[in-house]
Amino acid sequence: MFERFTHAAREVVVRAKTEALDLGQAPVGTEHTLLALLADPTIAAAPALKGLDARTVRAEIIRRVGTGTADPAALADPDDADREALKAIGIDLDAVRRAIEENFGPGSLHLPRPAARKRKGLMRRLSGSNHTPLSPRNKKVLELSLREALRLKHNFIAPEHILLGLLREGNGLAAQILSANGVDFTALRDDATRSLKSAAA
Amino acid sequence: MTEATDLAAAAGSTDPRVGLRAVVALRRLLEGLEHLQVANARRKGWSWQEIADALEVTRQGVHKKHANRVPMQDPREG
Repeated sequence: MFERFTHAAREVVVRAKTEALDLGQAPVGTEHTLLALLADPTIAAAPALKGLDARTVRAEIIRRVGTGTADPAALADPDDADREALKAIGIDLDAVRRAIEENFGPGSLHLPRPAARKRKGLMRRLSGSNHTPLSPRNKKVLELSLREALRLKHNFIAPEHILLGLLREGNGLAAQILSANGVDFTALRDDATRSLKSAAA
Repeated sequence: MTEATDLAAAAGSTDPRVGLRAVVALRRLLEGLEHLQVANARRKGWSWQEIADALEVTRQGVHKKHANRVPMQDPREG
């Protein structure tokens, strides 16, 4: 299903994982997806959010569930072993990375992990290592984003579709936080749909 | 021992664990680079056939391997 995700939508999935890691939490839940969505300027500007920002949401997540539920192994640099092995045959991984990032930007070179190559399914691949899986509810949100795109007859999935999926699912921590902050789901759905339509012409 | 001779010794290591681990790391680096460059070519409007020719593989092969992993263009970005 990830084949339809735009670059920005993929960024949301990847960023959600980073948000979870930063908070020391696992699995990656709807609340982390919400944080990642709020990093998108178009979504953050939706009037229905009434200025609710990532910082407020982050504080709310910490207040509700605390931090540090993640396996510390997930925080280690997964490329360490490769760096050593490549050095043994005269290749400086950091030099290669620098040369690539100079043209393609920071973080552009990803070495596929063994788990990612063996497993079937893009959900696994994009969600990364075993240590930070997606919560079942967050998976559901991403599946619903596809359904929202189909409903709107879009052949692409943008961050707005993920937001629509999140609101459609409606029961995760993200939805609870939105609700607690007085966000009107119908109005936010309208904002997201309008954003998709206004510029899609 | 100098660093150069250290490297030479490791590269020529007859310990299979060392040698095979280097092969794995190199393959991962190769896969990472290939994905990055295929995505870049697609962004620049290259067809799958052109990419396949440049990589010296079949069009079907490169499409099967990368089509799912290259982001969909958001029509709003034109």
